[in-house]
Order: sequence, then structure tokens, then C-alpha cells
Amino acid sequence: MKISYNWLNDYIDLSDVSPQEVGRMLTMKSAEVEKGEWVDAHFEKVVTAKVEKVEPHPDSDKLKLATVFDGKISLRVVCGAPNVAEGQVVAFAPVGTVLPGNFEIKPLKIRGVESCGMICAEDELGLGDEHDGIMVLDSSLDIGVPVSEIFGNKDYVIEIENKTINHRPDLWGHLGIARELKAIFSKSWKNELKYRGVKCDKEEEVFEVEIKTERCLHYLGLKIGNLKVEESPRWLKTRLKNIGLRPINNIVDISNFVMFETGHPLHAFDRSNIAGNKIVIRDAFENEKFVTLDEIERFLDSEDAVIADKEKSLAIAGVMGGLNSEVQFGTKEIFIESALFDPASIRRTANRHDLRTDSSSRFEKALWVENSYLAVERFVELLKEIVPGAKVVSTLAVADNSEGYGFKGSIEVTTKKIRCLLGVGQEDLSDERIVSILRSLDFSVSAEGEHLSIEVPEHRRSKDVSLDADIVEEIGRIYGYNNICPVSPLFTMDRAPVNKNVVKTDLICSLMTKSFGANEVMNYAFIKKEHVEMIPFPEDRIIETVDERESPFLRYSMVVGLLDNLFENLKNFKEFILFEFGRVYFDDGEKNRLAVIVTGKDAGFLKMKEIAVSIAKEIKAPPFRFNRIEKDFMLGEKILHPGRSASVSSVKSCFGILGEMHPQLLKKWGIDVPAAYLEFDLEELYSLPEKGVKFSHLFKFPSTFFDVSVIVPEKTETDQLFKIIKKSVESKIFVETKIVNCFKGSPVPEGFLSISFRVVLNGRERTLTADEMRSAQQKLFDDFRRAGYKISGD
Amino acid sequence: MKEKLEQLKKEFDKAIGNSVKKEDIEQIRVAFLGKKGALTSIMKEMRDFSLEKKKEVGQMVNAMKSYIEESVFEYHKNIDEKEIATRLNKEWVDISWPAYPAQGTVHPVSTVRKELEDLFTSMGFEILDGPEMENEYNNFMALNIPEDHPARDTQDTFWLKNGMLLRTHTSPVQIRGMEKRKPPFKFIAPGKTYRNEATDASHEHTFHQIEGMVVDRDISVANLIYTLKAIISNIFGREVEVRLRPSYFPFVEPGFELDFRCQICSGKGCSVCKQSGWIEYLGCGMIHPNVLKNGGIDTDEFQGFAFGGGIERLVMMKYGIDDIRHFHSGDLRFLKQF
Ligand SMILES: [Zn+2]
Repeated sequence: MKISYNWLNDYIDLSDVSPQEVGRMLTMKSAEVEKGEWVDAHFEKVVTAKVEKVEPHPDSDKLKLATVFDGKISLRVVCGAPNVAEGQVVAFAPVGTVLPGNFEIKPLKIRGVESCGMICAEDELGLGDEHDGIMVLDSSLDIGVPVSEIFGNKDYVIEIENKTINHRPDLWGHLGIARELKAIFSKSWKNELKYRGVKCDKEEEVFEVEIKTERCLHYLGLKIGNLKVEESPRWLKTRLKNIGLRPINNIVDISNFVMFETGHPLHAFDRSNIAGNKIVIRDAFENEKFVTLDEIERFLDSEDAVIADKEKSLAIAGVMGGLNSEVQFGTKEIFIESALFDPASIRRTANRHDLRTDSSSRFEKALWVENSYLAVERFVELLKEIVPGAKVVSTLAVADNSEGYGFKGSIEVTTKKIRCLLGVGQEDLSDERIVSILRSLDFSVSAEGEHLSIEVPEHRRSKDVSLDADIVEEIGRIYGYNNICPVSPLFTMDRAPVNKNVVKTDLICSLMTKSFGANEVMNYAFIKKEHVEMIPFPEDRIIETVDERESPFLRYSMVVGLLDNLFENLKNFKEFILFEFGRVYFDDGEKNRLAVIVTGKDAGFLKMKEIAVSIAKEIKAPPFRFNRIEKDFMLGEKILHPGRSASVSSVKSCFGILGEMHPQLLKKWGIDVPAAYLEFDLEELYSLPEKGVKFSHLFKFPSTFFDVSVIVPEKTETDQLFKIIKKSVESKIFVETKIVNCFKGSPVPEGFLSISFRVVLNGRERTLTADEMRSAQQKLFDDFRRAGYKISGD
Repeated sequence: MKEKLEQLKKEFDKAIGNSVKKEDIEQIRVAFLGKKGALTSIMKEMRDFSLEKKKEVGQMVNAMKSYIEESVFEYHKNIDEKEIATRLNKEWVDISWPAYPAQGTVHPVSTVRKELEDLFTSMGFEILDGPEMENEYNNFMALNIPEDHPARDTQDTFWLKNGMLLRTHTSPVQIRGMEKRKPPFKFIAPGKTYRNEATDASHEHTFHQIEGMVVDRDISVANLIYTLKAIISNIFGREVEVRLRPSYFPFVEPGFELDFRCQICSGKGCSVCKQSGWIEYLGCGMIHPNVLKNGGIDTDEFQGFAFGGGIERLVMMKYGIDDIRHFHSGDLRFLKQF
């Protein structure tokens, strides 16, 4: 909302405070000022001037050379306006003037002729839309005076961030801001607006009002006759223009002025379009057709309230009037409405019809009954000033439905509590100071020692203030939050409970980056329809947004984002590992996941297994087990290569999948290089018991080893071979075994491969003898043969 | 015999004279000292000598043997030295050949989030987590934002077909946190949040916030200022001036906006701070009594403050990132810079 500094000065005298300071103090004490800027500053530079001579331009048919006298000297300007003529008084912008739109007048040559200034058109001065010719002023005006004497002074306009006054219905007009500044700068009213009563000049008609809906709280109406609808006077148009409103006609402009003065919306109906003399405020009929002032046909329902006569609806209550009763040039009599509507209903109606108006945005903030009287009185006052013949020709028609609306009681609070919440001492914020701050904000206070009993003024009672915390805010902001000295809280020395999930996530994150050179990514939760088609998932388990969007579904696997990342990054990189900590979403809740994708020469099953066992070690989890994926666990059958993938489990829970990616899936994504993938469920992973490290003694005597090469059919799981070795070799001499070689091809027969194991032995308290070694070896050979395998060399 | 040995020495000297290869020298050594070597055959002749002569010749033979061995050793040593010299002369490395760090990179938002977590845990705060898919009660109602409250305008919501929503702020963790704790307590809750709005260089529908809550007996605005000033100063590693402005958030009363001095222009005014010299950073305030009650806290005994701010803005300021959309781009050209 825009606030005019000149306008504020109607109510309080701010001549000793700069407009910038007004903006700064509002920001620090009341509401955030987004920006402040001068308007019409050029009025001080542009002067009245007389056109002395008009000559043709030597090099142009359209342009003319005008000599103007600015009261001191005569200057020649090139002018393109067809209506420029000798003897005219015009608005002349000398060199150096900055006109609206940041247009600076500079000396320049136009088709070879020097031009020193500009004769202005209406639009160039920001006074209207007229551009066809220069603005011709009253010829009786003095020459050489700034046009501010005719058009008004420059103004400073402050723009307030609306969301910071959502809770302050009283700040939605200049009067409320002035009231605030009165407290901030300890001033008194220059012109206090108070309701004194609207007088009926001549009762021609009696209006009746009936409220038939809970959505209307209070309704006032009045008939005014003998009107002349015309353009508003300049001062009014300037006021509205400066706060960003377009002047329309005197009736509309005055009601807008009153809205931006008091914060209370008014609505004027053309009396001749109201059938009968009874106004009813009722719920709209189901599917009621109604054309609003913006000429849009809308369909109302019983949740909307309308203002109606005996035949038809005239307005959507509190939101917008109807085209059927619009005030136009030619309107002679009006019915002016000043009402109060239920804030939540107004908000719902405005949202439902996507019709946020200045009126609806004020009603939804919860206005107060008293303001509706002040507003109608101000309207009458201004109208009579502007249209001298106008007469009030009915008494106020009133209907009230506001019982129980707003806060009615008083607030009991101690000065001690106020100081305790703010964290200031009595020496800084005395009881007297607290009381005086409240009184400056129009609260009435009765103090008994440190106990205060506070009456809330009417303009704060409708919504904003009802609790002691609200009073603390009033004191705090006027006292100045920045006058509060920071104080360390007195915390206990106890260590906060450690969040183990956070610790484990940090460990894995650092493992991935440090040991595997991986890069962390973040992807959106949203996925597209085509993704769902590529990786099908039960429809009733997928979460979808209500709004239609390009990506309306929430991911149920991390793989979508990582495949997108893979595809995009392959344009610039060949080999990389990406990982992401994120969530997946299901009908029964969301889960934390870790996902890793690898491409390049390492993109194999074993790399993923290495990452998995490294994670186990890093977070001290019990050893992981790897099994073939069953029943599409974690979508493993759709994402991973059936022969080169595994599910991962430990203790009793199965928490992840890993392996090479399914070539079909990669193809769907347009990726033609291999990739490997891992996805772990973190709740399951993090809930595994932590395994401590237990040190085992180093052997005193040297270890010995023998190798054994086994010929096995392809697709034999090595795990079985390890089991045979561990079972065969006596545990009291066994140390470890590992694969030292693996190959296929001659002399190994087709369909087989040769795997060589090194078996390391140690006699613990002594060196093993060669016989012991040989017999262990022989036993292992026999055990392998018994299990159906050939030993190399057999 | 003596002559024979001297002759042998001459022959040896001649043979080894110009040798430069280890194989040649070995051959020569074998020719003289090997089983069938010249010196060995002389020694064989000694078998028939008298004891006295044996002793005399034996000494000469031994001397001859040492001479040959020492010579061979010397030659070997020389060759080794020469070989190393040649190798050193030949071997060279281009020290300008590029090398790359082996480790990957943590997402900058994670880095800053971790810094914040470490900072708060060092001050005794607990770290909490909460669901992104929230119910309307925790996200709005319990935070004093009933339906039809104008404050809902500023939080365009992703509503979900299952009746839930994507949390618009981390504040619902306040409610979840309070429900499970007995005061006094203090915690933070960093995490992802969502707003249903169009994306541009400075707006994202998916972003991170950090929420904080302190509930104790005499917690005051003065404590709030102290705590947040300490946090901001720690983030920047130096004392940073902060200011509180009144603002409105339904779940706090009084509510503030916390600004800090622009660290780019030191408060003189620049494009980052929109010429104001201040960066608007946190929404904060004393927890609204209704919210405390909704969390099951006895408002006669306890009060507290809460705060919440965006993480991306800090990250952008820290690294000079000018477009918020980079964070979710997954683009390695962006990620590898951190
Ligand atoms: Zn700056």
C-alpha cells in the first residue's frame, strides 16, 4: 500500500520530520517500508512561460521553432506539437529538468537547430494521458512561476509491504498511519477525525436495511441527491494518482479517497437502479448469475453474500459492485453503503472468484463497526465540498449483526511481566513509561502499582489486540527493540541429546566425497507423468499434487532425479559418481533415502558393493548380506540388471538394493553408457545396532600360505567356495583367504573359470611344520573335489 | 709358480681392462675364480706341493683371489654409479602436468546446513527432523494460522490429493518438538520446505529453512537478540551488527524480522541489500501463547522464542551465487566448484 507524505500532513504536522525519516521509523516500529520516492518533483522545475514567436523549422514540415519567455530570458525550442501558437501560456521544462520516466531535458540539436528546453504535453508532466498537443494553460497566469503553484507540491510516497500489516486493519489508511506516527514522534492531532453524526438535509425517502446472513455484521446506507457526476478537482486527482490510483469521477474518487483515508471501503449505487427502498444482505442463490463492475459474468453460490434489492443482486458484498447499478456520468442520486462483513467469508469469496480488490483485502483484515460511521460521514463532507449542491436526502439506514464480534474485555497485565518478556530492567523501562506509551497509542490504562488494566481502542479491538503478549509488542516496538540490550540466556550445562541420524548422514556424506570422489546432488521431489510410465508403481500408493503441474507426482524412488542428472552431466563429463540424500513419498508416509549413481569405467556391480561395505564400516553397522532381488524390492527389478544386482540386508532387515542399471531403463532415458546404482533406506540402515571394534593380537610367529586353483562352472557364487575353505581348514590355524587370480579360456574348458585362492595359515604359538601345511592343503583339495569341483592340474 | 701367478694377474688386468658390462665382468670372474677357472687350476696344482710350499703359494693365491674379487667389486660399483647417473640424466617429469583433487564435493547447501548444525549443537541445541509431507494442523492451525487467515497468502501451498500438504516452512517441527519434550528445551530443525510459486533466479519452489525454538522460564526478547546475534556473527566469523524490526508472523507475538548489516558493502548500500545496508534474514519472535498451548506447554510457567530463516540465502551470499536454481540443477559444473 502506498502512503503519501503530503496526505499524512492533513492529520498531523510532520514539517519537522523528513519523509525519509517517516519511512525509516515506520519500518523500525510499525510496518516494513519497501521503498520511498519523490513524485512530481519536476513541478518545482517546470515553469509557466509565454510563447512569443512561432516559426517554421528550416528542415522539417512538421516541426516548428518556438521562442518562449520564461520570465527572465527568451529561449528557442524545437516543438512538434500542432497546437503551439503565439501568445499561449505553456508549461516549460528548462534544461536540467527530470520529467516522469526519468526523462532528463538536455540541450540538443534537432535537425540542425539548437533546442533549449521543452514545452510539455499533459502526459509528459504526468498529469494525464493527453499527448496530441502541448498543454495550454490559463493565459492570465503569471509568467515564470513553478507549475507546483498550479498543480500542487511534490510529494513523497512510501510503499508499505502489505504482508507486514496483515494483522493491523487500522493501518490500511492514511489516518491509521498518522495515528501511528503520532505515537512514534510524540505529536498531537492537527486534525482529528471523529464521527459527529450525519445530518439529513431533507428527508425525501426512507430506506430499510435487512441483514439475512451471518456474513454481514453491520450495514449503513444513505441516499444523496442533487448530484453532478463529473471529473474530480485537481487536488483529489493528485492525491489518488500519487498513491497509484486512476481517477474516474468525483463519486468514485471520493469513495476511494475515504477508503485510503479511513481504511474503510464504501460503495456507491446509482439510486435509480435500485428497485424499491429496501436493501437486503443475503446469501447468493446457488448458481446465481451476476455481472460485476469489471464486466465479467460470474456464478455465485450460497457461500457468497450479496447486497440486493427486492428484484436482484446489486453487489457481491465487500468484494465488488455490479454493473447494473454502476455510478456513471449522468447519475443524479446515489445510495452510499458503508458496511462490515465477516472477514473469513470475504476472503473465501474473493479467493473463489479470484477477485482480490482493495475492498476485499480490507474487509478480510477485520475492520471495526465505528469506522463505518466515520467513513460515511467523511464521504458526505467531501462530497458537499466538491459538489456544492449535493444533499443528504435520507436518514442513515442501519442494521446490526455484530454482537460478539471483536474483543470486548480489558487486558490485565503487570509491568513486571512486560519487562520480563522484553528482557529489560525497570531503570530502562519504568512503569510510567509503559503507561505513557500505551496512552500515546490510544489505549486507556488504569494502573494500580505494577498491575495494569488496559482498555483496547476500537480500531485495535477487532482482531489485533486481545492478549498480554499483544501489549508487550506495543510497548516493545515503541520503546524500540534496538534499545534492548542483548543478554545471554541462562542455559544449563547439559549436553543436548545427539541426533544419531544426523551424525551417520554426515559420516556417509564425507565417506562418499573423500573415499569415492563422489559429488552430492539435490533433486526435486516432483516427477512427471512420463517418469511414472517409465517406472510403474501402484497408482494408489503415489502422492499427487492437487494443482495440475508439469511434475505433479512425488517421487517414490530416488532414481528419477539421478537418471536426469546422469543424462545431463554426460554432456560434459564421462566418469563420475553422484549421490543424494533425499526423501521418497508414499500413501503411508515418507522415507529418507540415500542413492548413488556411478558411470564410467567403475560402473559395475562390484563398485557398488564396495561402496556398500564401506558404508557399513563407516557407520559401524553389522556386516551386510547380499541376496538376489526378490519381488521387485524397492523397484529393484525395474531399475537394476537382473543378473548383476542384489538386495542388501543386515541383522533382520533388508534395506537396500544395488547393482548395474537395467539397460532397458537407461535406454528409456536416452543413456547409452553403463551405469550402476544403489539406494538405501536410511531409517532401516540407521537403526541397525552399532558394532564396536575389538582388537585381536598380532601373531608372534610368521604366517605361511598355500594357493589352490579351483575350476568352477560359470555363474558359480564365490561365496560357496569360501564356505568350503572355511569349513575345511582347522580354525586354530586358519587366518584368512582371498582370491589371488581368476581367469577363463584355455586351458580352462569352455563354460568354466579358474579361481585361485590363497589360504593363509598360522600356528599361533609356534611355526607350522611343512607336514601340517601339506596335510591342510591336501584336505582342502579333497573337500573341493568332494563338492564336485576340479582342482587345476587334476 | 710366482711367475705363473704374476702372468695370471697380467692376464686378468688385461681381460677386465675396458669392461663396462656386468655380464662381461662376471664372465671374467668365472674364468679366473670359477670351478674351472685359472686360479682354481693353479690351486689344484698345489695339491702335490710340500707343506711349506703350500703355505707360501697359498698366501700368494689368496692374495691373488682377493685382488680379483676386489677388482670385480670395484668394477661393479663403478658400473652401478654410472648406470644411476645415466638414469638420473634420462629420467624427468613434467611438473606442470595437471593433477586433480581426489575427493568429490558436498552440496553447498549441505555444507552450510552442517555449519549451522555444528554451531547450534555447540550451544546445546538438539537437532530435530520432521516430515515434509505434513498435515494442515501442524503446518497452519497449530501455528495460529486458521483457515481463511490472510497470512496463508504469503505461503502458497502445495496441497496433495491425500489431504496432506508439503510443508511451507519448518515451523511444524515446533509443534512436533514441543509435543515430545518437557521444558526447558532448545532445538533446531533444518530441512526442505516448499512453496507453490513460479521459479526464477531468486525464487524456488523447493528450498531449505532452519527453524529454532527455545523454551525456558524467563526467556526474553533480550535473550533472542543475544542468541541470534551470536549465530550470525559466528556464521561470518566476525562481529556482525543486527537489528530487529517489528513484523508479523501469526505464531509469534511480538514478531520480528531480524536484519544484519550487509557484509558485502558493510552497510553503505549495494545491489545485494537493495541499497538499504541491511539484509533481511530471519523471522523470529516470542512464541505465541496459543502455539505454546498447542504444544502442551504451561504458559504460566514457560515462555520462549522461535526463529526461522532460509539457508539458500546464506549460501548464495557466502559463495556469491546469483541464481537459486543452480542448487537443484544437479549440474557437475556447478557442484564441482565447492
Ligand atoms: Zn549491501
